[in-house]
Amino acid sequence: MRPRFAILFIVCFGFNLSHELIAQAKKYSFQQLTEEHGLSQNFAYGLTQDDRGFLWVGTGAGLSRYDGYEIKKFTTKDSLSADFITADFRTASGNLLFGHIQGGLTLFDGIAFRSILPDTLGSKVVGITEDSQNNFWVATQSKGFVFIDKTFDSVSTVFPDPLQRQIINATFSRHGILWVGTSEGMFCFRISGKALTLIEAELLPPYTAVNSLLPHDTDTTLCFVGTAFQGIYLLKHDKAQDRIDIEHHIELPEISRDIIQTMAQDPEGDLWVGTRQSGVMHLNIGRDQKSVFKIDHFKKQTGFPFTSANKLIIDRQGQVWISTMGDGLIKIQKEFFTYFPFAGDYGVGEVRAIAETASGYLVATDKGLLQISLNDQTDEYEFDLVTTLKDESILSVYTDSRKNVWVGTETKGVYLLAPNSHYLKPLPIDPENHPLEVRLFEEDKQGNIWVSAKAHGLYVLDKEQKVMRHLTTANRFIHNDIFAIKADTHGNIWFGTYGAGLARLNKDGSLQLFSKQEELRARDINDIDEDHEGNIWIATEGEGIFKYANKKFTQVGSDENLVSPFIKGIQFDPTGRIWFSYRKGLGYFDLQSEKKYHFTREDGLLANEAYSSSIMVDSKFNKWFCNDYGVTLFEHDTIAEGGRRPLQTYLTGIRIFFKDHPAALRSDERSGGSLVGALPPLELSHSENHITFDFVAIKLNRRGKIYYRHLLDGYDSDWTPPKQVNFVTYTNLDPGKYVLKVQATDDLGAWVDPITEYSFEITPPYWKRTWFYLPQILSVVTLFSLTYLIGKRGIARKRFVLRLMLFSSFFITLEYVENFIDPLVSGFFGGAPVFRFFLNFLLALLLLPVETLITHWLLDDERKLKAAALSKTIDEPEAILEEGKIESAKELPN
Amino acid sequence: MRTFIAALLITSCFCSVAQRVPNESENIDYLVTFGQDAPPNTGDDDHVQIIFFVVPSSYKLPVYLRIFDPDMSNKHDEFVGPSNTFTKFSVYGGKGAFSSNEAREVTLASNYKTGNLLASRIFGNEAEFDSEWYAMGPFNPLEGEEIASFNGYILKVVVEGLKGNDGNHYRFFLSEEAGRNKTIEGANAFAYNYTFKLHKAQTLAHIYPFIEKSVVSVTQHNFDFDNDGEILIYTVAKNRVKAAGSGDNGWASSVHPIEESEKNLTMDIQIQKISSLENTMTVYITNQYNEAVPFFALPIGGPPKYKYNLKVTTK
Repeated sequence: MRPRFAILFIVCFGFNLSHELIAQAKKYSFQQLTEEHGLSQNFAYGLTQDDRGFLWVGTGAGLSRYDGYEIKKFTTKDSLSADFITADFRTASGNLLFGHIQGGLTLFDGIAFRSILPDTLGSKVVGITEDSQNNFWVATQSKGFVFIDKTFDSVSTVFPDPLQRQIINATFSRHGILWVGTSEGMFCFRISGKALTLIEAELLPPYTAVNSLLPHDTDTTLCFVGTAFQGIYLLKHDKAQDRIDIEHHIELPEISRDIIQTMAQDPEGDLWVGTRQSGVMHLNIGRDQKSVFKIDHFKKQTGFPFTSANKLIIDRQGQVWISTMGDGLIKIQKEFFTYFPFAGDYGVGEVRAIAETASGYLVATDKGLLQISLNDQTDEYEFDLVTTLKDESILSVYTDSRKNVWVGTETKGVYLLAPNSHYLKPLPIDPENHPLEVRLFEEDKQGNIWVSAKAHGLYVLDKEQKVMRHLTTANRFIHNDIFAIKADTHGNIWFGTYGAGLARLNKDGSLQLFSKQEELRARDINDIDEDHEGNIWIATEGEGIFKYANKKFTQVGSDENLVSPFIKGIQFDPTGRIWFSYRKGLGYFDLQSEKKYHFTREDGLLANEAYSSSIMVDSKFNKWFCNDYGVTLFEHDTIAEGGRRPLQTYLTGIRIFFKDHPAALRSDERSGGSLVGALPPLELSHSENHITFDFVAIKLNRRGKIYYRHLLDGYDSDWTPPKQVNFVTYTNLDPGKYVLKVQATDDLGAWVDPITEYSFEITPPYWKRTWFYLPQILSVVTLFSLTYLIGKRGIARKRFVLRLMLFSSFFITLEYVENFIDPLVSGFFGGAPVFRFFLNFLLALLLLPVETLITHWLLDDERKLKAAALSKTIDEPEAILEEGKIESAKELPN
Repeated sequence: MRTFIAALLITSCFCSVAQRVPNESENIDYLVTFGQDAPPNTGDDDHVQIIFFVVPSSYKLPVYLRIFDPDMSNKHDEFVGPSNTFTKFSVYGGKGAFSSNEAREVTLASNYKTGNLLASRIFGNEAEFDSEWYAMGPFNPLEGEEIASFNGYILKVVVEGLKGNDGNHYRFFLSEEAGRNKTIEGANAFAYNYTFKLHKAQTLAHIYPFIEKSVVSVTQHNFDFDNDGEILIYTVAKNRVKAAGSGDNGWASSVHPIEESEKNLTMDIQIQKISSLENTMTVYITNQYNEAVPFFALPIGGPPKYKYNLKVTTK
């Protein structure tokens, strides 16, 4: 989509502006989610964002939850009071309330749904609000209010007389006052417990239907009132006099035949207005909070796929979400980039540099200087050609700390625009008046200006703009053509060249040649910048980015994380991001989080060609990139101030054998009363060892993919490879304690976001519990003792009893041994059945010799006794016979 | 029985613009609602008009109720003195909008505003709507009352004459778009009581009640016809059967037995006007139980044609 232009007005600016100012329209794009994407229904009524960032969409056929990538549906099967959702509300404690078509109400406490009111009242819920006592007021269309106390235990109907026979359309509560918009006007009640006392009823002209109410974001005394056919009223609550008056009326003739159904205020204080039939309007509200300077209209006729808005919200990233009547869910977002093309109007073919000035920005192009200024009223950028130096090829522009603007031309040397002056004056700096091709400017710590002129080396100018030094190869300077200069905070000056690489002029006057001394392998330097820790970063042609810290160069950039090794420009912003430009796009690298991001045409980058030193971060932290035919602006507010929000991963469910586990939805364990649920720890039986965990990281604001990795402590030895799948299944888990760790990232090179942990335990079966081992051991000991007694003491007279006992003991022992060895053998041999067979065979082979040995040992005493008896019989047979020790020779052992 | 109606509804509506009320097939230009202060001899007995629209269950897109000339302005409306009348248009859906017995009463003694109010607007003398279409909505068809026997959702439109004594003339179109009349496939409209303006001269208007199987006889009721012509009934078994016509500011009714062959078919009540004076009248039809019989914007199964009973004898 090409930006629109409009000729605004003629300006005769003191210093040489031409006659036309051109305004740059802000660009917006949209995203649509419908039934095809998984939305419950295209008729979306409710819309809210919960504390975790999920977007909840109430439709005519159930509830949908969107995490930026997937939509999950909820219906009465999940304990909603009804499927048709007409209103929603996020409570102060973070719970969600959903109103239904026949007066029902459902609570979501972060974990589970609970029906608070059955859907039987016979009038639809049109609004829900929470008073200062944290009690809830549920507005129904024709049956007044339902009062619900904060514990949800007490419910009563409140239907004040002034609202009888009225159609209630909207409500909200603030400072003990209940504001009610009806089909016949605006009513304000003072809340006292469950009682409502009317304090204002005739605020608006007679029969003005009020369809939407919006408390002002910053001024708590103000309230926007959206009407049918009458535009918007701004009401003010005078607390001192306890009265409410009309502060302002925004008429909006564009929608005079339409109903204002919903409103929202964005972080800039602008108003977004959703209508029944005319789409959505963005009202650019002035600093007086009343005047509307500009209106952007989003509807089918302007390329947006919807007509009717039911609810508008601004999410935490400042994006506008709209639930629509029949067109699903729409996201409107301001594009990351605003592109200012200069080719069409000014014939510009190359933009070389941009500098911030007192009145805006000056852009150096091959067709002269262009000025960009921000219109404070319309909040739009306007640009124009500076007539001085028109058609002169400008190579550089630079603003020093004294607000002097330095302009380097291709043929006319240096021009200077002094502060508070409107005239660019030529500044001859070459003593021999050579026509200088001025490539660069840089100011050092002392306030001197370093000027790079092609083939003429460097000129150093003092504060009086007099030439102090002239550095060329003639006086042993590194090169006569310097492409990058950086004066660091230590007082050194860094120089980048093509061919001769990097050099540093130390504050003691010595010159250090890093490339020549092979400390830095790159020889073509495009840009140099310093981070807030004093490290020097070097953008090279073909070698990526180098960082100079602790007297060592480290290559930071590579093909993998910089896309291209040909880095044209680098620039740090105050949040610690290094921005870099290359021929295929733009990117940043966050030093703190080590996250990087590349912007391409898919992100709305219209031009991605970039030149050396082509990035500038202005005083508002906006980033400007110089391209072939224009400049690209990346506005600061498109990435949240203070860095990106951490990508938090949430566990959303647990499934056992792919069926939802009821414990995962248990709501009895709540964190600190905030009810924003974390899944309770889980104890599973040994048979429930097939577990699937569902998780999600919510990212509504950016394109790109989210990757997950996980690690199960007690099972996995390392993190899994990153995947986009947001669930993991573990099968055949042994009894034990486990901790699942899940982490998400939107940058595969940096796993820096919070790790979500969840502990669970699989309890062992009873036969693996300690108490069960005792009888086992006792049984074995008993068996062994019995065997010993039978063998040693000769309790059983029959040999087979002894052998049976021995075999049993050996078998049980071997079974235990086999159970112990088998996993080791299986693990070693890979579980092939043949090895198990050999193991059993080996154990079986042991059985007979071991039995024989033990039998022998057990019967050894007896045998010895009998042998002794036999020998005694031979020597003294009478004595033996007398002692009666041998009954018969047959009983002698074999 | 109503399943049968639903089947006929669908087959009837695919081939014609059934969402326009009054329909071209009825040959009626405008529906009429007078302000509360208008005398009965204007032809409007109760200052209320109720129309039901059926949106088939298969239809999943937003619908708009478009109203032609909803305000009280110069071109199409009927004035008694200076314009002083306000008309309220309301759309109801949800439970009870149609299924409630009160919703189908023709005498309007009870609460006819059953169901959930979906939208309403009051029009006075607003020139911007003169001879213009105004769209209410969009409506989610699911916000209508689901009636299984109709295989669809029903939206109820209630037009009320508020203060004033002028007559508001208007038309409806249930449309897929707000900006133009775009038909909704399978939709139809019906009413139990019609107050409408007859053409100026010698024209023929049609009312198409559907005769269900249980109907033994129908009674047609008309008000303030001014005896300006004839009211004739046509069915497969009735050919030009004369019905009672009312005089000025009065009611007339006549009972007409229903033969077996006339059941499950549409009856055509033709109102033949003679004079060239404008006239507004009210019509409703009841069955033998004094229950109102619906008449559809588009005749279900097509307009009836009398079948001549030929007897062939052989010598």
